[in-house]
Amino acid sequence: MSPTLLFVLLLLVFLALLLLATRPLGNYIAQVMEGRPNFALKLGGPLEAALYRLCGVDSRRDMPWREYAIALLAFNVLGALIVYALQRLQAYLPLNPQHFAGVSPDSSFNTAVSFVTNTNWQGYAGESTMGYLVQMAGLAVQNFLSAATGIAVAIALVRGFARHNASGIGNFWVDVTRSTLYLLLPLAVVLALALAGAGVIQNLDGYRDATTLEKLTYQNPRTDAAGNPLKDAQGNALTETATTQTQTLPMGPVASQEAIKELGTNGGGFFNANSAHPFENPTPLTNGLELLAMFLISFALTYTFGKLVGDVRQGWVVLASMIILFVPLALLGFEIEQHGNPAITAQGVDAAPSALQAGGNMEGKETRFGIAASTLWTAVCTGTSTGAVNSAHDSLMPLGGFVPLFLMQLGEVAPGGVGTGLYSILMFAILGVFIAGLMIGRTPEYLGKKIESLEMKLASIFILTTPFAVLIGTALGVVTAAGRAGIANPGPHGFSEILYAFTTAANNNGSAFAGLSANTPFYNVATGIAMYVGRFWPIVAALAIAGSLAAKKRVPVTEGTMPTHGPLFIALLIGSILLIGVLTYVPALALGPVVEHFMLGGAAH
Amino acid sequence: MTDLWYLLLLIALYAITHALVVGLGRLGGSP
Repeated sequence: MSPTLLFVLLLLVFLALLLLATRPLGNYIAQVMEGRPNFALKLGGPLEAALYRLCGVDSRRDMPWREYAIALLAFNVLGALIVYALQRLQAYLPLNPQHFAGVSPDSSFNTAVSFVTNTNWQGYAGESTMGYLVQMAGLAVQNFLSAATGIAVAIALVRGFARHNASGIGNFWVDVTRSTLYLLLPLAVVLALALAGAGVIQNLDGYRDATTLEKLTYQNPRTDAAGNPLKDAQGNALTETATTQTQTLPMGPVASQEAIKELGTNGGGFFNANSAHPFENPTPLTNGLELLAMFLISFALTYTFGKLVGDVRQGWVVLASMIILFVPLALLGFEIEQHGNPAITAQGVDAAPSALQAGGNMEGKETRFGIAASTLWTAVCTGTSTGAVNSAHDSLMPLGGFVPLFLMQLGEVAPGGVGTGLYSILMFAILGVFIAGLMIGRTPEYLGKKIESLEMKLASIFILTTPFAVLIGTALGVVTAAGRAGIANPGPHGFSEILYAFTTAANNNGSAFAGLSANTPFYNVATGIAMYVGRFWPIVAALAIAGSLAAKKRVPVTEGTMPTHGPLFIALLIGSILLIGVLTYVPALALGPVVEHFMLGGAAH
Repeated sequence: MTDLWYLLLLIALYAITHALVVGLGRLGGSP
């Protein structure tokens, strides 16, 4: 069977399994978020009520959008302060068998913002930095709460469409509690048990030293006191030879963190190698489960959307648009990697797939996954805002690296993070109906709500904030000495590394291109600000739109109303997303992966 | 002192975003 056919089959099985779960899970989410009686609310109701009593929350209070937004912001900044404190004080706290010192202030700031914003970008190596208390009480807790925040915003926006003449968009505390208690926690428990059963480790032991059979000699990158890579006069990284016969095996509560890491589209790995590490993702079975977990809730939320606005076709249209955006980019990524590196094949190296080798470009990929499961993962982790990796994105071919970059730059809508994917694509839907309205000369409407000047201003703020943070951040990285100091590969690849860092930060993805020494005060602060702005400014705009829409009356469907449940609207929605993504990022992409692609082609000849 | 600087940065990011909420509220006059 040809590798392409194998990949297509893998993709089809993957999507089919997800589509089977979309309707029942989407229906369930609609029930629990709207408090419609079902078995889960009956079972968890007393606990939920007790939590509200404990926190002094009036669960019946319907919040106007500003109150909802301020509750959300305060809740998240408090979470960031707790994660910051846990890292700084970890040397004095329990559950730190490795006796790790407190994390540096700049890295603590970056990590606190990273996990609160659902980015989970990591400038540090987990196994050599974070004790178990920080991993569990800080990072894993934020994995749940940041995902719950995303779901809350999506549901609040959907209520904006579903309600009319209403002053409120829901209760933030209730939304966060219900999505955590009835959705994320049960799914995470089931997945954690499945992963632990399939070989992912779960313990609180100290690390173990193993003596290897052979002495290992390797090249260690040299760094200065600030952690920046040392370079020669040509700008190439300097290394030194090191030997060892001891391998330290890190331990820890990995399966429990791995489950929510994928389900909540978080992506922060317990270990530095993330899901390429055999203790996080040991087999093709765990790889498959983790892949499904990344898409599961984002797919289901589209059905929830359709259900709550009273027309499930609207949800299927959104989901179809997400899939149509995702599939060609996933295929492109696979084809490029399977094609291999022309500069290497020009030297007579056999890159053809056979029974004995995967062929193509296997640099940076795990042999237990091969090219198909690695490139599918790359597309899935950047199509969502997960950012967990099972291969080294820095080792992708130049256009192979373009795929994850572009998937993020589209605004994380294919299908995007939990909640964020839905509310982001609904912003593009608003833009799409506005463009269509301009073309036919009518006031645009979407789901029975007139889209007027205020909604367009807010949608513009939403859509432009992230590119602003990406492009300004990248420019700062390129023009400042502190930014350039982090580059390990000079030239267009180095530019791609900086572009990727700010793209992943501002889009709250969190995957790393590696190669960039980002655990420095400059990158910790700059990407920290990009993550915060890229997360909360669009959320404020989305909630403002929700408030504005909820207050409007519903306009009746007439012959002049543009239908938004068919193929024409799918084309309009995809067109709007591509238009914004391409116009915004093509110049930057041309300077990075595109130039590198042509340089590689030239080198091969 | 360094901790104070990063905590202030976090609070400043929160304050700017809070001001955005207030500003957008005035922009639309929505509830």
